[in-house]
Amino acid sequence: MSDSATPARSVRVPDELRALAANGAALRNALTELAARTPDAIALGRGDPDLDTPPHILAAANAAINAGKADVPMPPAGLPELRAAVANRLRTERGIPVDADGVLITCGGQEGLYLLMQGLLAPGDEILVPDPRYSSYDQAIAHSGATMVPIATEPEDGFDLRPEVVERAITPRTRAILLITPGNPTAGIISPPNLKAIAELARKHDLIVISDEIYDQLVYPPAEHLSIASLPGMFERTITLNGLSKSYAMTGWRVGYLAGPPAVIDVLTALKQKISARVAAPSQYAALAALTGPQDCVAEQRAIYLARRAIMLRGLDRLGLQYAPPHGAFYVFADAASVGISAFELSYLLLSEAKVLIFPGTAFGERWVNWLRISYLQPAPVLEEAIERMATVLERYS
Amino acid sequence: MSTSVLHQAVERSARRFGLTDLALPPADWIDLAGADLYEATPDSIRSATGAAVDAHQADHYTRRPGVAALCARVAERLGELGIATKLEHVIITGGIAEARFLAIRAYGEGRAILLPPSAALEDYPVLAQLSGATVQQCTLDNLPAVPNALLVLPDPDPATGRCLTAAQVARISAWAVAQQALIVADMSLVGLLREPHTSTPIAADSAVAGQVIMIGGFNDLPGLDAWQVAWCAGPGALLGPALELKQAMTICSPAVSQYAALAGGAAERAAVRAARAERVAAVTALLDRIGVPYADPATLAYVVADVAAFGGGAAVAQRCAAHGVGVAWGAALGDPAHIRITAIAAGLTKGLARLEAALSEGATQS
Repeated sequence: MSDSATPARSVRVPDELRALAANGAALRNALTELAARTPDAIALGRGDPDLDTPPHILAAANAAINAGKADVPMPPAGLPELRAAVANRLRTERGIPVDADGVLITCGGQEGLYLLMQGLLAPGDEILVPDPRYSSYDQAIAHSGATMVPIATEPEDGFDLRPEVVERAITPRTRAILLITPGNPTAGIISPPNLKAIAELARKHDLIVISDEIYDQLVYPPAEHLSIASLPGMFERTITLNGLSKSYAMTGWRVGYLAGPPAVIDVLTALKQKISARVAAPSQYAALAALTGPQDCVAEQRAIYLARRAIMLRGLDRLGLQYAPPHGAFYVFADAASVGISAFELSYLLLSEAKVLIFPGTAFGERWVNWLRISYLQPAPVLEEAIERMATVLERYS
Repeated sequence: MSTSVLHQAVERSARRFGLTDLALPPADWIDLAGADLYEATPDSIRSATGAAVDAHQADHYTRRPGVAALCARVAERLGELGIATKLEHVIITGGIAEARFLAIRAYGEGRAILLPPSAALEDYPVLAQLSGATVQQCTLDNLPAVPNALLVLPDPDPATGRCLTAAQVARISAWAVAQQALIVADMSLVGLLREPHTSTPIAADSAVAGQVIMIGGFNDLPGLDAWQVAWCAGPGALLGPALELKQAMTICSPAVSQYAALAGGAAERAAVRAARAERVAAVTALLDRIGVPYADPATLAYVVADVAAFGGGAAVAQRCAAHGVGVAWGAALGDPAHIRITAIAAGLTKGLARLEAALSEGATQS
């Protein structure tokens, strides 16, 4: 598989889009907006589940609204019952020794990330971030004044994080390491042995660990999820970030959470109060229903994604695109070097000619010029149709 | 003393940003100090929002800047104030605090931020610290020459509820043009103005409109405090940094709350104005009864009272706290003898009884 071969051909891309090529988040938004304006486009771009929020969650939200519960401003750290439900889940399912007072409810996982960067980092600090990365980290880190230090992951490792690569990147300025497992955009996981070795490094070098586990319920066997905060001695130096968006198809409700030592959560809560006050009350009641209600919906959605993943991988095989097997989330990170067109241009080509939205790897790191992130958040027949369309265009340009 | 690396990091941030411990109010506390009005969301808004929820409109990310129809509604309301705005130039935020942070963080870096005293009531000093900007206190009638500054302009004023006069606005406009300054116009109280008070928004002045970022909320509608929905708007050429920051912070605002704001209309606005006027009248009736002077309320939310004869703002606030009721006080109100009382919905009668008890103690002691 290739990550840096020079593309053989170029495609004419509008200047306004080309101007955004180096800004991952802006590029993703621009492509998404372009797709929204393209009739009959199939979106395999954003990480927004196409599945509906389960009906019992909607019913609970409406019941809270109708009972007047949603009128009452929430405490800054969140609805106490929701904080308790989060803590209960993390204790029982993930082995993280947290109580309700160690939980902060945030406006989606994204706000949690933003708060963490502002609350934990300062100018002069370095934070280690796996490469490729979810590029929305960039602005949050930049605003803290800290420096992001990429840690390379490789397709031949399934984008697992090698402890020796992490250790080589540590300097006296390293304050924190950000982990995301399963990963975005790669859908790789950090294997338990590597995660334990990285935990040892964090202890040895006295590093903060920010563990983004937003996809923890979307792990496909035989892979298993392990929370680093559950490892001995790690809770005191780890903030776990998660949310309801991906596991319960609740992106629109904007509920996430941070979990860690209570005294640390207290300061992050004070910061949140200044930045955004509190999370919308109706959303918190919806989240409470999600966490305390029946959990069959999570398994059902996971099964749907697993079936779609199989369709997508068969399709990529047919298209001749290589990939590291995805172990979680709902993405495939695929190598399109064989096409001979840069991923940035190929994304535009696929959108303009095949009407299929896919994000280029460069939206997740400069190195990934030949790679594509494909989300399979469409019904199976639509995925099949997308593959057909892509095949037609790729055959024309191959 | 905590020593873990996490504790050290947050303690450093707390010092850097001036964050103080969050003390939760005691049980049965009544808050007459803040901006929350503790109103019930009307049935009409609840049912329309419920329909949107049932139709799965709240399930997914909305359009990044916000639901288009709600952005259009904001643009329309700004148009009624004489400010030409397109829906594309409106960002829906997760509440007014987030709107303020967006404006200050997206535009404050590398500038001097000029803050009038009343801006402290809305947390602007901390937001400026979070932005790494230099802060300079100012008075709006005597703005200093600071090229490329960012001026926070709360209008109506959160301390008094008063609006700037047209002449004041013209002077500030001329200053902004001369200094090439950016203005963050905090219009969060416009929807609460009490007749005959009217606002002359600075963004309506075409000479300076290209330099104004506006923020505001939906408090002209009842019962949306806890729904966390507000807006930020400005000229297209300026709005990019705020949009980018919004994406980095929360991607989009909660869909359910956006549909709630969209559900409210003229009927809800009219109904709540009458209810709010009654509550303000209840506050002034108490003050009349016990002989506390107050300024003619300019908004349907706040009454500013002169408690000099009762020991002054700090002493009255302290006695109020002992009685389980909070009132706003301090330098941000412009006069140490003043307190600000919020005419909330739930708990107002009880809160006023406690206020009366606190004031009575002061009268006895003085």
